[in-house]
Amino acid sequence: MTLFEKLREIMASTLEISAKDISEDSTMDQIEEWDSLGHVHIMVALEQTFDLYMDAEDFAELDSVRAILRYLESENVTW
Amino acid sequence: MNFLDLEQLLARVGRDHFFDARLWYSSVFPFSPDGCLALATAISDLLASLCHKRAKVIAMDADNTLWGGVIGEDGLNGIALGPDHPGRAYLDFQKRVLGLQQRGFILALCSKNNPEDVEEVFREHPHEVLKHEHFAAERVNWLPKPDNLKSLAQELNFGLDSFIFVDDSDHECAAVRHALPEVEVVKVPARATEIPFFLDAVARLEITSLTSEDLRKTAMYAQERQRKSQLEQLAAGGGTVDEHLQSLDMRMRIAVDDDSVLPRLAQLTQKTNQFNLTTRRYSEQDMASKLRCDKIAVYHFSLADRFGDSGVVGLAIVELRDSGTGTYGHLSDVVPRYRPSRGTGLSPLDHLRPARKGRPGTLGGVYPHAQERPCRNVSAGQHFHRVGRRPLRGET
Repeated sequence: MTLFEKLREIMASTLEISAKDISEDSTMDQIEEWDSLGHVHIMVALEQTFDLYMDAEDFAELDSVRAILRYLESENVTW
Repeated sequence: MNFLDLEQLLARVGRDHFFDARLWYSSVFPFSPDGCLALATAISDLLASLCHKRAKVIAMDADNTLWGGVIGEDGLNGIALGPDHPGRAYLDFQKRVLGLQQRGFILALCSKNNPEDVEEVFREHPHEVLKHEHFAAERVNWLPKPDNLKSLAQELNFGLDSFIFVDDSDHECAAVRHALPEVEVVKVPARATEIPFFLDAVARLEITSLTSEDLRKTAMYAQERQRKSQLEQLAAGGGTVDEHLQSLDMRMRIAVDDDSVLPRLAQLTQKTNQFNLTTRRYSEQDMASKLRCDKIAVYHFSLADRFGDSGVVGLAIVELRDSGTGTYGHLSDVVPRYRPSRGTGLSPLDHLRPARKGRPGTLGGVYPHAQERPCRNVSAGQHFHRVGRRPLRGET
């Protein structure tokens, strides 16, 4: 499973949407369920899945799948 | 209105772990995942305790529940109960169960054992907290537990859906679940250290409202036993039930629209099944609006006798209706908490008078329901006649 596939799985289950609706190009604006509360859910799920501690500043910037992937790669996460 | 004790929740999770400043400042979401989970669980437990009928009877196993080990095999000195591990967990558990009993739950013992073995623990074990006087009924025998629960329900006059069954054995728990699905089954944890607290998670043991009658319940059961033993003595000497009732020197007090006992009035409609003519349940808010309403009179009846004060034992809601010829009383809900003693003038119905002299009021709204039998015979009384209801089963 690639990092993107793992992220897609996490996002699909936290936002309760189909994985098909999430691509590497998806952004917060495009997915209706990815609202501010959905964003909190995703951030918390990322922390729990990858054992991270994220800064509040990062939350706001991680508003697209690509940005999240870049961030996770920079943290050298494993799963 | 109900309250959730956030302080207690905070203390359990820990303040540092309850909130997450990052989520608050970035997203206006105050709680950490742990805090959010604890809060959500507490809210849903509170809702469950409000929606589900409160449990009334806790039927307890003895071996590996009240104490560690098996009394029939380990003997009085072999069971775990006392100041050392693991006995202390059982000791603490017994104290918590005693606390539940003091807050108004009824305890019943349901154990597969030789009665004399259990008796020995009750009588001689230095650390046994729960004694005979705390159990309203006991079944210590080798019969199947579902059978014992059924006979306990009969003896205590409660439906099985009021029962919580507590047992350590998978086999017994499964047998009760299968035979009596209306009984809530709670399995005792295998680890002794988890035993003192496991009943805390049972929503139906949550107390959302407590009346002075609840707190006095233990004393009331003791009084009730005294009454019973007096009746037995009298019967043995050839006396009659009437003589017994006379000798009790009963005094009934009647009051109307008295909001000082509001929680108890609402509770009577919620907890009384057998002697409840309608089983309509009213919340405290419902009852408060009835007390305030000009067109409704809420009577309540308190009973005392030589053994003690039983508090508020009965309730009647009378709707005052205009019929063109004047106002008359329509008695819609009657909840005599005790068996009305015919001929003693102590049945609440004897004392309710419809507003208009010389014209009987009406007694309505007797609904057939699961526990209808005892109140089937609540007669309309001299001042009321029954109207508008279906005949009950077996009644012509």
